[in-house]
Amino acid sequence: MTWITARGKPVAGAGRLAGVRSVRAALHELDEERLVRLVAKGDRAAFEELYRRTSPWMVVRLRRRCGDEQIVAEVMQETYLAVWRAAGAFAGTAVGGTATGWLWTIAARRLVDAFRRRAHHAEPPPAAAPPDRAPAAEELALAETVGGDVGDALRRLAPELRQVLQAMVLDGLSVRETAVLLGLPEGTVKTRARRARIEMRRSLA
Amino acid sequence: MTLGKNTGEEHPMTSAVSTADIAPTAYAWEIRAAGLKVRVGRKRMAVDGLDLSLGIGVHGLLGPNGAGKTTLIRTLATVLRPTEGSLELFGESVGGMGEHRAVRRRIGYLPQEFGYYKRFTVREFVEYMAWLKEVPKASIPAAVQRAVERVGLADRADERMKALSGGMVRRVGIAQAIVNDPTILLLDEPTVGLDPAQRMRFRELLQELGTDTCVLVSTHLVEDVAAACTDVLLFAEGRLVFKGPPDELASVGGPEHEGDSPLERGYSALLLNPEQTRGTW
Amino acid sequence: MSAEHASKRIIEGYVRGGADLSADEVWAVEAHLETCRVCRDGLSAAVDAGAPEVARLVDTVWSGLEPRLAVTATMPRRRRWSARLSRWMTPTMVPWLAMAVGVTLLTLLLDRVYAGSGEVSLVLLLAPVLPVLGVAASWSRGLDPAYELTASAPRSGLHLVLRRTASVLAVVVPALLVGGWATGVMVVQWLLPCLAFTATTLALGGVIGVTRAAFVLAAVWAAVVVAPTVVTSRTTFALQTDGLPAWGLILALGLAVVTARRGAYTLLGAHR
Repeated sequence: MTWITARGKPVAGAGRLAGVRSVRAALHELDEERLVRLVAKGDRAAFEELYRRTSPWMVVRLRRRCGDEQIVAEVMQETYLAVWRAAGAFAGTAVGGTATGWLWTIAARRLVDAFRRRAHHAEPPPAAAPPDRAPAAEELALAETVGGDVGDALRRLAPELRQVLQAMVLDGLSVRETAVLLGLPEGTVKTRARRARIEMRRSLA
Repeated sequence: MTLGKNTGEEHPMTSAVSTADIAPTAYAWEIRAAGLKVRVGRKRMAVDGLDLSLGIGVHGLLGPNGAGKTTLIRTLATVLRPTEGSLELFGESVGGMGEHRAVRRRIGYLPQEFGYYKRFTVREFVEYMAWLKEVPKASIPAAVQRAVERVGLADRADERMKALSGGMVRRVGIAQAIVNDPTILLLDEPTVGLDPAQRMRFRELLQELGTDTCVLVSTHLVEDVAAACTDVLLFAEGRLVFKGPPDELASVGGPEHEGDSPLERGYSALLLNPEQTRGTW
Repeated sequence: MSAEHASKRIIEGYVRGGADLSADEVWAVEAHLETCRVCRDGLSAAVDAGAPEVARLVDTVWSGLEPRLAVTATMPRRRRWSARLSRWMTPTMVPWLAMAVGVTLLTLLLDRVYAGSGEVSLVLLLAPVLPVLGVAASWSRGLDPAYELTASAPRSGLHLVLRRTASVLAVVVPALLVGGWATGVMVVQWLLPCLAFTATTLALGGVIGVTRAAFVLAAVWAAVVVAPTVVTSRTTFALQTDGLPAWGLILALGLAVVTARRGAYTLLGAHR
């Protein structure tokens, strides 16, 4: 794997490798927002750095919503290609969020689109909802889990209700998009969201 | 470490989802018309007593020229007011004089005469339309990119519109119609200028959209209708002559009717009156 | 944030998928990973160490992505100002507004040249009509190719009307200010009729179409006020200071009608 420097030109300096290493170190320092701005200028090294940093997280998160590896690969490709093509349009619009936040927003919508395409072919979306198990008390560190009450309430929530809440709150999807993602009718999504809210309120009251 | 994305809020899970979003759906049909009449000009009733209920799915609108299809679509897009009768979109009556902003945010419309600004690039034009449709400012770039990709113009997103061919311009029109992720999509002759391969891609897009959107496509090309639509509406002289699945329309026609395909024969059977001899327009 | 990172156990459980973690742990770590770079790097390390299928997927996608980068163009630098400008006026309005400014300056020149003959001020005669023509240009079907799409948008209606009218006035009023100051005409003398005419054009335009209304009102103005004034070289009542309260009333009425009938500007009929 060859390293391309910032402008595609070789860096003059004390040995070529030293220059390359320093560029790589420099990229490593930058946060994702700066990387996106560099990508907007056509910087392939910055794009590769962004990819290396965010793709493992993206894959893991997508796999928790879709069991089909092909779909996950497709969504990843489309997402990163969109970032490459239009980073200039995205840069500066991460209002109240992070670059990784809107990276996920793009990926989530592409996932919903992929499910829409398959829905037409009458294939059930291969989403997985893992069963739950309360961890042993001594393993809990307060800093790692959600504040006690909310965590308990979440755990007590029925899985199908939690799924809907996760799609709408954590993934930021609308009711229609959630319906496509989970393969449910819109009315069911709305009913479950309402029940989830009521139960959460009751648990937290 | 707090739950959800809104740090510092009391119970972000209960507040992040708005009540309006998850309230039960108050309507049975996205588009509902009863006795709809729309006058165009001084004398002509372009839509003359229409009863219609359309829900999620792809609906094809067929009919001869001058039948009133464009007037009907314009009325559904709320740029024309009904003269008589009632029209409800998302359960809200749109006959009155209001601005209907909330309803319009959920509608996508591609007019038959699609006018655009030649000096704008594709991206700039779709962004302008996204702004006009009150898409939230932070979501505009992502929505524009997604719309442009869905119509297959991702590689030409930054070219000026005057450099595009007719078919590509039409696709930009489709892109601006879907940029706000509408629940009702009104397309008036969307396949004009598209070559057969592009029409196939467009049909795939229609099928994708038809899973959770109410799409009404007005078209002259019978094949478009056959392949993509869940049901077909035949419109003539301001009235609905037929509504049902494409197979049903095809079964109405027989060998004695004019047409090269079963659908065309069904079309002729229902629309051409028997005194009309071959060769008349 | 040092105390608030996810533990290795949680990250590894998250990477493995399946049922290792409880629901609230999964939720918390997902929300956290979106914002915390340290933990994302920890996740990458866990992937390298113990989740080969994830690493494989990452590499597969990259191998499909990399060759496309060279052939896919990124977005060129954007002209931000043109996007902002298009929210205030349609692209076709610009030449017409330039014309309006040009006409005002021409009037000023003519006024200077004919300064001796009579008390008639050409600025006063012209002031009401200029913005009317500008408004007509911004609503004309012929000049705005995207008029149908604009009419069908949620933002059309009063919002867009006010924006476009404001941009017309923003160009015309300073030009008239210069003209008025140079010829010694009081500001309010031409400003009030100017605004009143604009409001009336919009109000009438809601009924018969803005461009038609503009031409009708311009013709009425020419016939009723301009022609007699030029012929008799005397300022008519309408242009004198005594007529100002009437203009104020017309302005108020016009505004009231526009606001009450705001739905009319969302229809195609307004674009005639």
